[in-house]
Amino acid sequence: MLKIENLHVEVDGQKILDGLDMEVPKGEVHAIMGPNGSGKSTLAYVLAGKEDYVVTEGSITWNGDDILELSPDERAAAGVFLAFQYPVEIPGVATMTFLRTALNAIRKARGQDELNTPDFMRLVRERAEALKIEPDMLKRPLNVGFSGGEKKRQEVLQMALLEPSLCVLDETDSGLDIDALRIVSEGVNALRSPDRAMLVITHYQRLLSYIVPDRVHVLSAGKIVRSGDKELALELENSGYAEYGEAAA
Amino acid sequence: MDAAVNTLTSKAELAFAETFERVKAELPGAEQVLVRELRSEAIRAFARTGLPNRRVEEWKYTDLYARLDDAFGPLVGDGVEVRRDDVLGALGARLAGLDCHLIVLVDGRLAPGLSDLDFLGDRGELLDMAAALAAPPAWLEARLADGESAAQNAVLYLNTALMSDGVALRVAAGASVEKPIHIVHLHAAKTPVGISTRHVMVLEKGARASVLESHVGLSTTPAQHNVASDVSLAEGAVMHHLKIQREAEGATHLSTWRIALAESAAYDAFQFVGGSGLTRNEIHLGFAGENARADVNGVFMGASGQHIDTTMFVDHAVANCQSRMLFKGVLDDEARGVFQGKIMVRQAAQKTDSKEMVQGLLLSERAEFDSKPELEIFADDVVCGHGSTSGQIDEDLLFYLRARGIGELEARSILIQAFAGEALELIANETIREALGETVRGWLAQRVA
Repeated sequence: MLKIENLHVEVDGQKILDGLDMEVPKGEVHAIMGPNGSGKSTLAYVLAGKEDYVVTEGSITWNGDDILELSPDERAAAGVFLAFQYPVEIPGVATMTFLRTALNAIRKARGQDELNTPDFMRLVRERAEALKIEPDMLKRPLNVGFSGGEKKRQEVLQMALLEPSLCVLDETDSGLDIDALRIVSEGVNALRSPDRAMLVITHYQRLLSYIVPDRVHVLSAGKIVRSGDKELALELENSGYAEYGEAAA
Repeated sequence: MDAAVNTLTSKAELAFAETFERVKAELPGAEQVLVRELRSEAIRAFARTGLPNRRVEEWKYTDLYARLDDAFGPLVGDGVEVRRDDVLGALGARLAGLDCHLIVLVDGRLAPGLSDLDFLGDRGELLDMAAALAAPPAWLEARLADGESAAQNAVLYLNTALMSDGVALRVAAGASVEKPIHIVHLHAAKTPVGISTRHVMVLEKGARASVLESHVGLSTTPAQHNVASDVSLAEGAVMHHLKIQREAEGATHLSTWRIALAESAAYDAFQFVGGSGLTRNEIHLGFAGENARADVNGVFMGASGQHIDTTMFVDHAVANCQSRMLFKGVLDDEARGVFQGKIMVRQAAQKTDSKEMVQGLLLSERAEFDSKPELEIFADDVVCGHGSTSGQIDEDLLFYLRARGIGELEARSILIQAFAGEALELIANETIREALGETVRGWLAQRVA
């Protein structure tokens, strides 16, 4: 279970999260919705361990372990995975080399043997096919020249390969057309399992028609201000975030 | 020598002049009028200029006058005996495995027993420069006598005055040398030595060749290398020209490449610097015929107190030529990198297409990178661009890799390799590319881990 208690976070001396509490039990998918600037991405980065996001108060535990003590790579080994809103392009790093380095680092940290080349290739091919990722995309440097949709599929591919136990998806729907959204959502849904918790961060209800959440939380001004079932997402879609501090467009 | 114009003052300057007086009678070509004249003219010119200091614009970042505190003379006597295995060992397994024509200079002297000098057959000439200076063929004489170069500075004066050996290569019209000609400059001397090497490479019309100059050492005693390569490509000639510099830190490496390109010639070069305490690599590129193209790229890696200067002069004198430059530098500790790239586009050089990019990656707060790209454009219909960046490892990229479970040191190493890799991947020869990839990894294993 992911347990966040009274979390206060500052970035550049500015308070972004202001006493956030929430729990995501294993096997469940929770959505976090909220207006721009409410702290959604900050929560994602804090979970993954990005520097410059200073926790001034509160705690985060995953399966009872304090993850705030861990470095980003240690958190990844402990099962935390952040699907980035804006995956970075890394020229000069071949996608396959990167995937293999990451997978073997995590396997090693979990006490598993490194995968040999044929097994690794087979695994990537199989997972990539399910996400309709062209083999050509895997031959390019990581994310370089990828479209928005390709980058998001690459994120989900990494998630499928690294098999994390806590998946945090930060605005995975942004920049996706309807076909890409469906493919990515199917990829995510395939990873739903009783041993895995998921936190889906999104501004729009649209994604949640595909990845149907068990719970929906509304984040506003750094706090969870309302929680409900999936119907809450639909309600927000109709009413907008006006009452949560965002002016109507 | 002409004392009236002697302005030499420093210990090193005086030592250079004294060395010349001491050895001039034994230098190759001493009996040959042209060579003798060239040498005495050069030493007189040196006496007038002395070593350049930082007040000379092109030497602003590399004050040779201040940095050279002594000058070493050439090797005397028999020198160190070197076996083929020593050479291969100094090169490292990858580079030793390169399918090539090997030519070895030990402490500035061509070692015939270690060198393959006869592979060209009727495709041209490959001469031991020391012997050739005594009786230069007409094509070599023409190159030696050609003073029309912007590279006439103290370093080249000293090279001309003291040049003791090297390779004189002529690839005949239409001939093609498939395998790289690998010129190994091996430093083995147990006492401080000054080595002046001159290579002349002439590719006649439509000729093709690939030349790798590597600089490696078996010895860590101080050495001063002054090496000049004079390259001329006739119409339609194609050349790959690479340099790998991995000498010990006690070495000073002063190098001048001068390349003249005739119509439709294609020149593709790469310089890797991963050694020597002080390095100045000058590259002079002159376009003399239309539709020629030159790609000059490089990677330099410095640590501790290393100083690595790459200075380029690109002269677009004629129309419709293209030049591309990409240099990447990785600097740790107190290392200092310098890149000066001057592109001159003369009035006649319409439709010139020239791009220059240089990037420095600083791994330490004490490391320094000075970059001075310069464009001088007198033609109005050209595409020219230059860019220069300097910075540390991108924290966002580092975080992304770490968020995927890759530890910090490995993530840093991956990003540094990727940074250098963007330039390394421009090397066409796979063995050389991989050998340099391995050199970079080895360098990182010592630094980052």
